[in-house]
Amino acid sequence: MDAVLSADDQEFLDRCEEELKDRYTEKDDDFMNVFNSEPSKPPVIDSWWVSNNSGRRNDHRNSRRHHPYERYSNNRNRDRGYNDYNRSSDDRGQGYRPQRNRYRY
Amino acid sequence: MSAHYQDQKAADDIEKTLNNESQNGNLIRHHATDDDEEPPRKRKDTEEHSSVVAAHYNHLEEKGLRERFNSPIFYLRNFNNWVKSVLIQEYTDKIREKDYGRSLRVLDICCGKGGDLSKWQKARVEHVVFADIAEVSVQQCQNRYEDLRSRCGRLYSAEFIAADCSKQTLRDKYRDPSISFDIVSCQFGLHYSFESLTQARRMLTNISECLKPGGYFFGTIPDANEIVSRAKKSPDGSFGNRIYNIKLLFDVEKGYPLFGGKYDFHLEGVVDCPEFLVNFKLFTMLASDFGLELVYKARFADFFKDHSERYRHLLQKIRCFESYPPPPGKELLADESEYEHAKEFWKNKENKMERDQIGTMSIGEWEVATVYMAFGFKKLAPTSWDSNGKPVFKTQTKEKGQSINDK
Repeated sequence: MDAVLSADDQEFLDRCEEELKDRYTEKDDDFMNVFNSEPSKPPVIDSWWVSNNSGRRNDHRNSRRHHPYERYSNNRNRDRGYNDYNRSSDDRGQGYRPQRNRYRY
Repeated sequence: MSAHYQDQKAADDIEKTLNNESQNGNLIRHHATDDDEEPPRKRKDTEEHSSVVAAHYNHLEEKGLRERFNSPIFYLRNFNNWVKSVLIQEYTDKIREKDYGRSLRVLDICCGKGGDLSKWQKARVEHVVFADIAEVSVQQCQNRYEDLRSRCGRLYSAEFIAADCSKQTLRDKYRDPSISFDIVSCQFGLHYSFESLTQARRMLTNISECLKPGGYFFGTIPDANEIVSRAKKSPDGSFGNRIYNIKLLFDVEKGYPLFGGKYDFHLEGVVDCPEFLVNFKLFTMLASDFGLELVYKARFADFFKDHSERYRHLLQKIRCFESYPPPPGKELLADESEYEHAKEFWKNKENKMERDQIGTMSIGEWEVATVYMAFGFKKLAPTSWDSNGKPVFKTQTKEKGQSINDK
């Protein structure tokens, strides 16, 4: 902790203690705004859908972590497989998605 | 559920986790971010706080991906990543608005394991200095950086510094000590320096001294007003729910210390670490001494309102919210009672299609999310220099109330 405060620091602290002497009390408007507000309810987003393959490319941390030297060729194949199988939902638009994608979250 | 389906689900889950983790770099360091950490070792009272923090984050354990996916804070963590992504995007955009094509240099202070590595990539920055107190975290950050680079070829250049940013001078440790930054980001970390004025000053010195005039400093911290407010409403000064718990560790009868207002923050499987209240007015007063002018602040609930339209695609992409009602064969992450708000909305929703769903978060997770706030400061140009050779900034007003007016 602060063994010795410089004169500047002490002056700063004194100034803050004075300016903020009402902190977290009824005289502290910012605090009271928070204190008096109703607890926020979680957001609800209508027409929610879940992206399935965002970021699937390049994404092989698991194998990488354990097999740092094998991952490259492995993942390249894996990548391709995924991309072919599961083309981006962005490409498709929202009209149709295969069921498998639809129900993953 | 057939065995095959279960396997498929497991594979999907793991892959999803991978997506989130790597693409969105969501192993954020603090709070509802990293979830692959074990509780810190038992603390001794005499131990210095920073060594506790370092020990905590140095002491890491790789947990299975499965476990991570089943984390009760899965959506909370993704949401926090969304907030950080938005901040990074907003402030890099702001700089580019004025100077398109400028190559951006960044200081990611309290970087942890590099949760924002790929966010910086998406922001197309040129160079990032990653600094953190925990050596092991910094090493992991570097490993992840190397991984990312080997995967994507072109990536910003980077350097990695393990140092207590609230006690040591970072500038001496930069490869080029004359470097100047366009952006300084401090995510879920600044509050650790509010143990003392000396530490907070050192932290802000590190943050501001190499930040260019016109550059931005932004970050996320727990909102002291929120914490004190919840504590005052509880009979014993401690509060929480199934996933988090906060307990003030000082005697509120004696007032709330400006620095060293210590509290214990426990978050399921993530942190269990003492932290310090950051009185936001105090923070802005201090920051103004360093030429940092407040340009934005918002509690997370308001931050969401401010940015959810523009960044909706990202909300979906990184799965910040849970599907409601749960898809067939799946269960909600938390107890049904934590989704009353969604149930109500769903009941009143018109023209529901067969596969319609809404996105939301359990009340338990949202209660944690709303502990936090985001902020942004702009670095001013010094208007003069004092007799000690220190820069003087024009907002450095000492008149009462002047410097602390919130925007």
